[in-house]
Amino acid sequence: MPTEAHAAAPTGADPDRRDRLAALYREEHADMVRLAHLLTGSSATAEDLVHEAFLRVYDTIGRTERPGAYLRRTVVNLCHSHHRRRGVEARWRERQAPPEPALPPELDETWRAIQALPTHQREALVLRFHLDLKVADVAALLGRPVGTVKSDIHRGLAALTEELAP
Amino acid sequence: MNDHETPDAFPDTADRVRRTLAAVATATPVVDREGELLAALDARDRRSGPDRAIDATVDPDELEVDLDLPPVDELAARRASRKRGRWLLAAAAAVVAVALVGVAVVRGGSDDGTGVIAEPGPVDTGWFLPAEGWTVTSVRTDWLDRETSGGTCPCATWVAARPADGALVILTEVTAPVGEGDDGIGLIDPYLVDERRPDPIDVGGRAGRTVEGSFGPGAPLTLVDAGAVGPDGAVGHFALVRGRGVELDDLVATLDAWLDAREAGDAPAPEALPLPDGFVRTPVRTADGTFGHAVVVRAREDATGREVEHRMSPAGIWDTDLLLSADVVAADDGTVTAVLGERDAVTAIRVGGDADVVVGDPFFGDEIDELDSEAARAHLDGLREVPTAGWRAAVEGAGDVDPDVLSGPSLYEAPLSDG
Repeated sequence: MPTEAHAAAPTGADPDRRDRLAALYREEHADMVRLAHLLTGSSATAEDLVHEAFLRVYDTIGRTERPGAYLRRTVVNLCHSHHRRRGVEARWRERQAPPEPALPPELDETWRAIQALPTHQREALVLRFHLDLKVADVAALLGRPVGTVKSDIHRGLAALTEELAP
Repeated sequence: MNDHETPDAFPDTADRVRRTLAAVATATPVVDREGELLAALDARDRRSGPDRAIDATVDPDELEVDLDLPPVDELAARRASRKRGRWLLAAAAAVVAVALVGVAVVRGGSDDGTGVIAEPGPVDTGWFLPAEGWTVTSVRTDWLDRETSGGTCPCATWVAARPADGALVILTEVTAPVGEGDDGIGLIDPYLVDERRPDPIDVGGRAGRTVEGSFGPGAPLTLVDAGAVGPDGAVGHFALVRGRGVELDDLVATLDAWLDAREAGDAPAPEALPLPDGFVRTPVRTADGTFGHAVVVRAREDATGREVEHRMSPAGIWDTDLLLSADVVAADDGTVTAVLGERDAVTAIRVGGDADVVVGDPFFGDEIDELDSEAARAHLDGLREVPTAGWRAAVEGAGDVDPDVLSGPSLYEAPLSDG
């Protein structure tokens, strides 16, 4: 392409932004991996997506007063889009990943049922019940109407109630 | 139900969900990759400079409103200028990746950053329904984001395939004003492995690059990129061609012809692009934004009760990459049909028509009857494009339907495309 694209002089990362990203990483990384795990169902995928999210958030450091909020939204978006991109090779990679942690039987059964929900219901339940967000905030984060999110939560819980019935 | 409370109808289930999510979160293994992250940033900035645009998956305006952020004037200003860059994955320890091409994008015009510039065919709706004997049971909408898979727009995509041996060519192009390209883009495929980077390659007198690699269990790919500037000297075009079962020289010739057309100020004509014999060419598809929508239809076979889903999305932009891990099974009338084999969940995909259509959604979390490749292909072949009235008649009676799919006249128009 245009030579400008390749002409940038080596500069190295901006030291201040680099430090601030490192601080953000130490503060938020674990929580973001957990959130991504719940959204994607794969801890290995969660690691990769959160890593990517931090790379993206670096560009906003110093430009927003709440990089944590930006980070969370980026993680949610990446997890959502990951569903769309997830092809055979991604599943192949995930099969090579370590097994997911064992849970008590009741919770393990519930986790499997949650993973079997349609993606949009699962996303709504995770954001509502894991992050404890209001429905309006879940809707804003997912870019969906509030009514749709309410419906997703209601239907998700109904489906789980039926699935988990003794 | 209100915005603040757990739905009253299922309090026990809600409590169980809370406890389960908390337990899974607690048990989630967390690996400290801070050093790797910082190394990636250093490598990226050495390559393209530290000042790049914001993450295009997040709209700063939305962020401010939705999350009650203080004003982010600088972000908003950057968004208003439609300047978007792409991060470049450069960490040596990162998951296997190929990063090709560099260019930044200024998004022109007054568009709102979404939507495909449609080039629909004779029927023009993009609505596809199953064959006779199936009843639609639900229709939902979703969105897709090309940016998260390494793409950026304005962009164009073109596909050609040779059904005789499954050879495949996918050309992707981004457009950017010359001089605005202060950043590196990675046209990244995070699932490409075994990369190898030979020396720079000549593409009709232009400096190009090439990489060979393969998907994990898939067939080898050859990638070539190069750029050209339009006759006004103001707009640059950067194109990446990916080929499977095609010689490097043939890919270079195709790319060269594409860029020749751009230098002359012409739109590349699929029929004029050189390819070996036997290739079927789809139309060139263009988009001005990275975000788009999809419509997912679930239908039940009347005779058996079996359920199958198909997903429709604006042609050529989002699902084309699925072809890289699929086996081409047919190509005719400007469309290419491919099937993801029996290695995992089966998916059949057709691109080149008025919509890209995928059967047997690979999205996890969606429980649905299993398909084998034959059934997926049969369902795909049975889908037919219908006029707006026919679409609405079939969908209106279904149990769970997103109202947006009833108010828009086609897959390409508001409210689905944001106008």
